[in-house]
Amino acid sequence: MMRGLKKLFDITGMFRRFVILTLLRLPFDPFYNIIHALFLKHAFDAVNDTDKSALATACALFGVGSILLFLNNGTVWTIYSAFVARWTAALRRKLFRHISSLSLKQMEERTAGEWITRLNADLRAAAAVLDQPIHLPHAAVSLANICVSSIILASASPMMFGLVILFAAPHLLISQLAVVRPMTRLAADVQEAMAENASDMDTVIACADTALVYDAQGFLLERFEKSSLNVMRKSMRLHRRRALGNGLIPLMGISGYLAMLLAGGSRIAGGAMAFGSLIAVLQYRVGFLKSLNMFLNSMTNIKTAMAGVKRVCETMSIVPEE
Amino acid sequence: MSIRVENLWFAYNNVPVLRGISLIAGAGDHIGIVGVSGCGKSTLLKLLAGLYQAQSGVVEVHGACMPDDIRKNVAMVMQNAALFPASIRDNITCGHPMSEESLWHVCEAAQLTEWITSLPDGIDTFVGERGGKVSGGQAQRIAIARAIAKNAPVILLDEATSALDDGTSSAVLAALDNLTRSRTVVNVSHRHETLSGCSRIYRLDGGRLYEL
Repeated sequence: MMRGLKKLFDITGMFRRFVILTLLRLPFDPFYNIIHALFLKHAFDAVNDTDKSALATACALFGVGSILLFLNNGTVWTIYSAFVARWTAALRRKLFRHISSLSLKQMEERTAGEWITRLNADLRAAAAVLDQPIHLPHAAVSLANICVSSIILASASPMMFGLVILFAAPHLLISQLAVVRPMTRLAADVQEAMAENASDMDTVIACADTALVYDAQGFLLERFEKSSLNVMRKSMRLHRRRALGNGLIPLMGISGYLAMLLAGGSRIAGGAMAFGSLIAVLQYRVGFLKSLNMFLNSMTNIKTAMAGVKRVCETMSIVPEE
Repeated sequence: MSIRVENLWFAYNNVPVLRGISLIAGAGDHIGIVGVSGCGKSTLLKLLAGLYQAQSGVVEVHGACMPDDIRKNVAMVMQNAALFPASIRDNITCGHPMSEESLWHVCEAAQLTEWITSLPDGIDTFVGERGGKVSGGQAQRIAIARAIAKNAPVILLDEATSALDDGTSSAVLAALDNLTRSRTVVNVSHRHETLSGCSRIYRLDGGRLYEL
């Protein structure tokens, strides 16, 4: 996967700018999680102690911190959007130039539908690495948040951290094996079916006169319908896998939450933990799981996009004949 | 009367291409039409094939005047045979039911049998997109087989022999001979010499027909 991504950036350039923007975006989730947890801890402690001024200070600091973080986040994403638009345009330009430089023999070795798919659907699929709702920078951001939340949770309460890991591990394992891993293959199947479908559509248009004279429109449309259904079937297979991943989240999430509430409740009853601290720990758990889900979704999307990345890299690696 | 064209006018975006064409062909007549590129030969053929509708005038083919009915009575072979990305069988039958015996009879008439039997997948061989996996001569003979299979009374040839090399021309010409025998034929070409077998030859110039 990393090799494919490296090749993609080798084609388009702009890798340094991408790294800088990702690094600028990186602190948002960990900082927001910490600010949120600290706010909850201090706010609930203040409510426990009926300390109005401490509560007001916690609220004010949380407000200011949130505004600054969102300002940073908004600015970085605005710049990032412009960057992705330029990056996609550069990729399209280079792909088009490369295909144009191929010899007629090389062009004729593949169907028109295949070339149309390579220039459009493959490019869109590859660009999804950076421009779909959950993409490569999200993977980096969520990984940073998982690390920070783990360190804080493990130092605050090793037992609670153990519980989080206990319920998160099966989710991670099942998602990795059943959802993330087969995504590239499933997405590649969709791209191939789309190329065949585009080719059938091209025939309906290019051979329209022959089809009319020989009353073959029904025959050609039947072929087009068949390949359209194939695209739908292959896409459904892909979406079913995604849905399987999403279905695991509530099951594992609620079980872990209940276990932590039970364990935390007994520690509070035994005087070993304050209510505010339990809330803060739960908030770190939320941050951890949210980031884990975001990471898994990012990996699913990136793996799906890798089918496009592979096909774009394959197209770019065709050496033009003299 | 197999073909009757009377005072036919046709224009693209108000630019007239055909100006008052009249033409009559009886059953079994072989008509040749010669003219430079862009003079409207292919447009005339498309009107005779029922692919376009006359803007003014009459086009009657084998008693039919409406494009849908005209198309039932014609078969067409063009210079660059437009093959479907499907098997040889599907390209000949166009998805219509046809017995094996009739299919092989058609292949024989189109000089295809020897070549098809030498292929590993035989008649179910995939011809590629735009016939990319077969040679120009083979593609042309598949298109001729398709026209023979239709068994239409009127045959339209659009530069059907213009792109043939010496190696394939004899087989294609023999196939064309089988296709056009005892049928009404309109053959258009930009080269006068390819119309040698025609009983009458016209020149299309400035949108009008002149008998040579």
